[in-house]
Amino acid sequence: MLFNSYEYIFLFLPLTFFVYFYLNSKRLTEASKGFLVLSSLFFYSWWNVVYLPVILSSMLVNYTIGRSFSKDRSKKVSKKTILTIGILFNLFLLGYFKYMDFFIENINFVTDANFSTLNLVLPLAISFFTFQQIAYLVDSYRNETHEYDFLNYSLFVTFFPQLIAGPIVHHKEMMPQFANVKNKVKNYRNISLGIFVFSIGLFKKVAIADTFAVWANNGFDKAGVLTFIEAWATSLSYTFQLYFDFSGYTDMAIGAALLFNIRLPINFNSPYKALNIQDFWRRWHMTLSRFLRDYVYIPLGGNKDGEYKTYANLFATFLVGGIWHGAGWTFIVWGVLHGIAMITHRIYSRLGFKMNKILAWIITFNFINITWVFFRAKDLESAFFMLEAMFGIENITFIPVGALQTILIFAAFIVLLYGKLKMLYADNIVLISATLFVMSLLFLSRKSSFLYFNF
Amino acid sequence: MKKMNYKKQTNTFFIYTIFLYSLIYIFVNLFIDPYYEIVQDRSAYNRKHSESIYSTNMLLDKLNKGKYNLVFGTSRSHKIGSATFSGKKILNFHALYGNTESILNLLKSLDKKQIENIESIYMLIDFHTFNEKSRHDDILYSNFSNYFYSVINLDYYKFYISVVYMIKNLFEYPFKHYINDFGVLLNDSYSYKYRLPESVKYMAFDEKYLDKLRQIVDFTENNGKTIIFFTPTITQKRYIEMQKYKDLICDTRKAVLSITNKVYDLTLVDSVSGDTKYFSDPDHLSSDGVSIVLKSMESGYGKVTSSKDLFFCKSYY
Repeated sequence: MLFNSYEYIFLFLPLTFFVYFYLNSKRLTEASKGFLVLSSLFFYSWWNVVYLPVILSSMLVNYTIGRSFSKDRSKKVSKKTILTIGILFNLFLLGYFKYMDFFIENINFVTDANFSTLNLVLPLAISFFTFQQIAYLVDSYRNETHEYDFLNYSLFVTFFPQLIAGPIVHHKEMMPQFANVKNKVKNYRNISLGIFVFSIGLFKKVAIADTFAVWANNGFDKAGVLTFIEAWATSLSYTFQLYFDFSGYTDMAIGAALLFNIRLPINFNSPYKALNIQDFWRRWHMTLSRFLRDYVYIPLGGNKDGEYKTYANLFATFLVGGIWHGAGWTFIVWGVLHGIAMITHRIYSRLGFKMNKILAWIITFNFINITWVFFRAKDLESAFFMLEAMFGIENITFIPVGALQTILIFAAFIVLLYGKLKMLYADNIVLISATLFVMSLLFLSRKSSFLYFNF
Repeated sequence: MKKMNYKKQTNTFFIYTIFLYSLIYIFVNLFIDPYYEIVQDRSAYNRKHSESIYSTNMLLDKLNKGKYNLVFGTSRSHKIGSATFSGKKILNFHALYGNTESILNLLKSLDKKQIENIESIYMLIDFHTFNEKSRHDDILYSNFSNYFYSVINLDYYKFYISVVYMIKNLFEYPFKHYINDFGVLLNDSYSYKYRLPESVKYMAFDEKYLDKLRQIVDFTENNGKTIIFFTPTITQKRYIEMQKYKDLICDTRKAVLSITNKVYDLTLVDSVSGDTKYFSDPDHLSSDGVSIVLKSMESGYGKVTSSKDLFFCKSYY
């Protein structure tokens, strides 16, 4: 079920909200949790019920492994071995569904073999719930999780606002919130704030991102024949589409969770204002960055084993980040480029160089914009076609793109560089929420999925 | 106190939302487009053609109150109205998409008063006439779906063109965005745009629907009404392009001729077919084109007396 659909906004969300708090008001707290889990699984199954056994079995295995850390056990099998098994299980699940065909295709290419691809349907949200559960296993191994029963654990994994595309949450930041008695009664402050944040997210997605999507899709479909201006307009359209789409989704997730008195971590902090690549990754998909830092970069050694090892660790972390986003060379190239940029930035900073802020922003933004080309293109050839159109000298013809596209690209720059959420707060919150919400409803007929559902 | 404010804020949000949405609903669906004819999930061309599947019941209400000529057809006849047909009073049921069974069902549903109020019937012979895939009447008689559709069929495009129509009609004369017989604002300012011929799957001829056509003719004869059949007008270029389907089209039209002799073949109309300014695309006439073609028909142009007169049964020049 999409956040930007009539059935979610007018049926699923209100119904779940009222039944959840009704059960809580009758002091049926376990029933209310059970109801929320069932609702979340229904929400998940709405796309394709075939996916359901995958997430259920993943939850069951991870929960069992997580619990085993806290039990008195014989020393026959060490905690580390169990953790390794748990992580390998998750990686196998992810690898099998997400990367197997990519792997087979590359084996065929390199060895001239002819192995058949499996053509598996990627279970929705598998990247997100797998990472979330790996984090849970590691936290349990480090004794950073308290013991909860399977119902609580299921709620942690399946809670519908964050189930499909994050934010990626920690067990320790969610479970106390579900357990808090104060959170079991309706809180109008959270409801009001939740509606506001949800309305902003909905507007970002259906009015802005989906408008840019039309131009981005059209441009990338014709990557080989674009002129200079068209290529730049296309890449910028995608850059803005991706931000408004994903941050819109996150806002809707945060808003919906707030209705249930659950605070999800923020995932974006004006990322296109970043003045260097490190700054960008502190502002973009922050919960993924946190995961990669805590569960990949630091376990690899972080910056504690000398400069060269740090560079290697940075590179490896971003390579993992690229692979996590998708099974394709475009994502790997994208990850590699960001890894190289992080290393370059680190060397540059260590040498004590300073850069003019405007120049720093221009370089950073353009690097991000250019690397998104790899992120979006269907293959490397299309990506290079696009880059050739953006930078090829013989291709420089200044045929203008549509007026609306031009205006919206400039408007997006202004909003993303100078806009502050605070501007919308204060006395006008209700009027702004209602206006954005109603305007968004006018766009709901333009059905579209979220970009991060593919990852 | 603070808690109360947040509760009030939440309630105010819902009141504002309902108020704002109602305002837009009233403006678009009651003032600008009372027959829900502006449809957003269509190509740029079709957005301007009336998708009156939701308004057919309203048209039938009109037939209770006065005498009208009924027009059955598709998007290729949707512009037939008083303004384009010599001031005749027209009820245009193009939303049924010309399928003979859909039309027969509608005619059979008429009460005595409604039948008496029919002056004449004009029926377009199009690909959709004998084709199962083209049936559009599945939700025609569902009032709930009509109502539900009207509430959710309120999107940014519809709102946008409603505003544009209103502004243009305040400042523009002669009206390119004009109000039709039912008070609906229509846009006729689109320029000609080429498009590929219809997919062959929509041209399939199903014998079952020929029998329904026979029943329609019987119905009109039994009730003392006249029914006139006519073919759509296309550009000369399209006529040449369609030659690959000439046998199919010729056979279909011959089959109609075997049931009735009141057929006008308007495939090519000299003063119109050679000039794209009378078309929105190769298959669809503009309002000016429709006016000229109907005038030609009224003067007797295109009257078919035998299958030799049918354009697609001749060898083209």
